[in-house]
Amino acid sequence: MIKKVALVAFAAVVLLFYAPFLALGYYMSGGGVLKLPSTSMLATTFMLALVTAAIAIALAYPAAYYLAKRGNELEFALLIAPLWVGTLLKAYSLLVVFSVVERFTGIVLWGTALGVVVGMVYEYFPYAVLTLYAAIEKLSETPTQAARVLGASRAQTFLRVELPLTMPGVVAAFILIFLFAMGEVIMPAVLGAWKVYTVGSYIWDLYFKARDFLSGSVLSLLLAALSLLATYVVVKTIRSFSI
Amino acid sequence: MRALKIYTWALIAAMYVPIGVMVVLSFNNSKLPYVWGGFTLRWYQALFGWDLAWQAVLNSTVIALAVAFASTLLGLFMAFALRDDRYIAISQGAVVMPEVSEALAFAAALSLLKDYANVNLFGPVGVFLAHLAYTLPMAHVLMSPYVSYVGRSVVDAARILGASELRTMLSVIAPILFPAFVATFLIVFANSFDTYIKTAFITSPDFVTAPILLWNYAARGRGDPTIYALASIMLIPSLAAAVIYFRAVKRYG
Repeated sequence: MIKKVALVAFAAVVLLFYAPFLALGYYMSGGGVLKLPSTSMLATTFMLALVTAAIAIALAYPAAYYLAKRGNELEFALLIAPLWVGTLLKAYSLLVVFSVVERFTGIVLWGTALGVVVGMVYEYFPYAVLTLYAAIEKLSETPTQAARVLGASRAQTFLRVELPLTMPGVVAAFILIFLFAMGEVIMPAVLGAWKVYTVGSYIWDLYFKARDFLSGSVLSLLLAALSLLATYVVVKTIRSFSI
Repeated sequence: MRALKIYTWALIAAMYVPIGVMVVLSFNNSKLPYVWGGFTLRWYQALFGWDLAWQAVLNSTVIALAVAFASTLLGLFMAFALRDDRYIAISQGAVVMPEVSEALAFAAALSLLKDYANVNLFGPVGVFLAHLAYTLPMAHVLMSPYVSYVGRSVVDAARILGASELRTMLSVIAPILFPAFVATFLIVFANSFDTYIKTAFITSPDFVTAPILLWNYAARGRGDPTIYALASIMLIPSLAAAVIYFRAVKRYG
């Protein structure tokens, strides 16, 4: 009985997932011109995602290192908990902070690329911590101790032994954040005030302004396919540590 | 290590400052975010006197409850059906799909249904389905470790001792899975409650949820203490889910 119910439930899930793809097939066969995003827009999105991923990983690495070596549960929980807070709430709270910052220091963050980067780093930072933590925690003590015994200094050990050994984790975190950031809509819209125009905003406008289902769906599914690929890479990299 | 500890705590502080500032400002007796006018509850009173906000929070809660219930139950069944390790990559893949992706394809499907079958699902039903489609893999991934935790031997023992299949499910499997059930329920609830993008593409203009209301202010860059109060209230499910999640992980991890 359990099995039957489970199979029915699973069939429902499959239908939920695949109905959109059937719709896409219909729009494809019905014709229509695919409106591709412009090169400058792609470049903006790409740069934003790149910078976000780099900053988030640079910020997260020392924290993840500390957590994996000496951290306690509370510190871990506090760093990861913001994952559960919705993106829109984070964006709105940053908007408030930006207005306070602008008032007291004169630095304009709202409507600039810098503001968007701050928002996206804020959003994706916990992902970086999680992925890097997984990589650093699996690190064996043996090569580190060997390097120390053979006379390497602390810094040398870190740079030439520990960092290269955790590189797959860094790459995994980078791909994960990069692809999340490529599809980002909320941060550029709220913190970029629609002035920082990304592919996400473009898909948004295709649906809400142009009502172009074909181009919008194709582009969004392309993004989804890219991130599925990224997930596969990430899952594989993390798995390889556990052996 | 000491420097790293200080660094980590500085980061933790930085992560909670924006949220903290917003919550504090929702009690600020001044319309300007950079002027502290004393403690007040009047923005919360204004929020509670605002029918649209009430309706939006209520809509969000009802949808999130329905989604959490359906998703946890179906996720449990899915975890039973797909206990094999091979399938887990598929569901894990679906969890981290970017925010826009299939929501728009989902909207396209609903629009087809509207044009050709004359069934208009835009609105509550569509939002329910779209949220279900994206929370299910999440529920499945959260449930599957617990499901494999229910050893075959426990089930066999119950069956050999004469319990029916239903009886086994109710008195043996259900109690073991209860903590996982609660954790998944809360996490899905929190996710469904504050999702904006998935809702925006699917909803109809007369079905407003709390994130949609918040977006109307956020996308125009408008600061309003009443909205700070709304946002602070919207934080509650997220924080509850985070706490419950870490407690559940601690017990079984």
